Amino acid sequence: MDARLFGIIKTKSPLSHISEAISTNSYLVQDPILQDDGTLEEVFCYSGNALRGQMRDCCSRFMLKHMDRKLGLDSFHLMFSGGKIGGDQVVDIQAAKILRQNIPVICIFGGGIGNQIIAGKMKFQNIYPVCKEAIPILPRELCEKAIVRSYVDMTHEKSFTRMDDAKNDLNGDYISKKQEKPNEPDEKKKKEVSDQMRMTSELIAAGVELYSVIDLVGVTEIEIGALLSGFYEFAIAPYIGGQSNKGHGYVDLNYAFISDGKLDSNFISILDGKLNLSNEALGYVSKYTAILDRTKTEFIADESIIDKGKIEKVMTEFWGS
Amino acid sequence: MKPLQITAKINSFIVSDPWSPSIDSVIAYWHLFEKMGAEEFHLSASTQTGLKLIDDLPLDKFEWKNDIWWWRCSSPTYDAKDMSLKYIHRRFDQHDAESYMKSKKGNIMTKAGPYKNFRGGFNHVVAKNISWFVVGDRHEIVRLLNKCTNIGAKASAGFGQVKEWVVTENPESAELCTKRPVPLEFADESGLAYSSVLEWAFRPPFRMSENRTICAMP
Repeated sequence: MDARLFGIIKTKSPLSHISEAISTNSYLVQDPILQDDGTLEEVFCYSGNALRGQMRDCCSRFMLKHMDRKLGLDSFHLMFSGGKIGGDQVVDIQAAKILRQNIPVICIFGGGIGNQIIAGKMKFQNIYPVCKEAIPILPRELCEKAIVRSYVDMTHEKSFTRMDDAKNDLNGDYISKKQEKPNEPDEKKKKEVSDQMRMTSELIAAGVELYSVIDLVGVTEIEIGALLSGFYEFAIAPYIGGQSNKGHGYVDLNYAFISDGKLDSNFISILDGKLNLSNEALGYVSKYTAILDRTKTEFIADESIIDKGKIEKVMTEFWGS
Repeated sequence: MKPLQITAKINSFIVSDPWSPSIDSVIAYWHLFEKMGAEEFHLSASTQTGLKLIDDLPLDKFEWKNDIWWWRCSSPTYDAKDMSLKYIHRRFDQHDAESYMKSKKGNIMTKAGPYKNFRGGFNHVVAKNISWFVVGDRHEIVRLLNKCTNIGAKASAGFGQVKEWVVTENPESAELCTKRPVPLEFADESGLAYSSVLEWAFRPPFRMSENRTICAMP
């Protein structure tokens, strides 16, 4: 089936997602958006690729925790980073098919398997703030809300200081005394510069609403469940963007789901780190976890896989045991 | 089959040359996706051997000679308001590796080799609309294009989102659809103007060797 997850990600703390850094200042990623009058306005863009990478990690974590397993280097790289292409100049369709049937996460995110790049089934659209400058690309339903909000009011700069604690006299007792070499030239002593610095980040303000869309093309119910499983992991630490160690990027989210014209407006939400799934969403997740439970003891293969011995070979190679 | 103008309402997309994305390949993608089913399509699309000649698109064929034919559709036209480089990144997840990877002797090299971290730049074009002129079956083209949410490269990363597809009748399309890469011999024979000559595919799938020849580029 084809489906769409769409909704609002609301920042509950400042959000950092940088494009470039000049000296100690870092600036937000901005996309030019063409306005109706032909002018261009720069608006913050949270890359769909960033959310996609984060969800790939979350879905993989959920699967490995649920199955209580670990992976070898190549399989880990495939699950978490999308894999690599290389090795023998052969294309093994059967092996790719076996992996896709047994590991739904690979099926929806795609990746490099052997010498092939297998496409995924999802498109994580770039994410833009609900503001008047982004109206040309926002859905009509959000325009009324967006028209009264200007992007100019959504960003701010914040500075942080990194202290060189070795230079703090109060910490002097905790530093082992360096043995002075009698013939050490004074020049070398002078080169020991302070580690102290002050850096400034451009940030998206807390309280800003960002519009996000994930398109799912030709997915099964189990594969939708595989995507939703990632939100369980995401809810543990619902941060997007960088500098989460400073508390940046804490978010709430709410996605609706539409498939075959049927809308579920409260499909999935995370509020204050608490995950809520609608009954329909829970149904997809339970179908997915049932497959994970089944593959703990047996491997799945449809009638198109003729060489049954190959199933075990491919899956043993994947799990590394 | 009628002369049509296809317009995708977008904000921006990633493209590597002025003749892409070609509408015959966009239509062919969704036509095959539907015909083969998602699984078979994705698996065969990743292989050179899985490529097959597509001859049943809802587009009119222009037949030249010796089984050489192509779809009657133009290259894209758009008014680029801005162009810039956009970067996407891929890195080895060291943090997760500590928890979910079996312990391994030695280091994992991320500056080179198969696990190399990646920062790739892509040519990002800002344009409000992108249009093509075709001769084809309007109803079927609309049905297939409505499945297409993104055009251009890096669609899975959110680039080239299509807000709306608009397909209208345009009598001039029959004439304008000649503005596309065609075999050089045909261009010289017909007196078509061209800007450059490249080895190119004159019909999809573009990676299929039978579809490639020296082409005159508009």
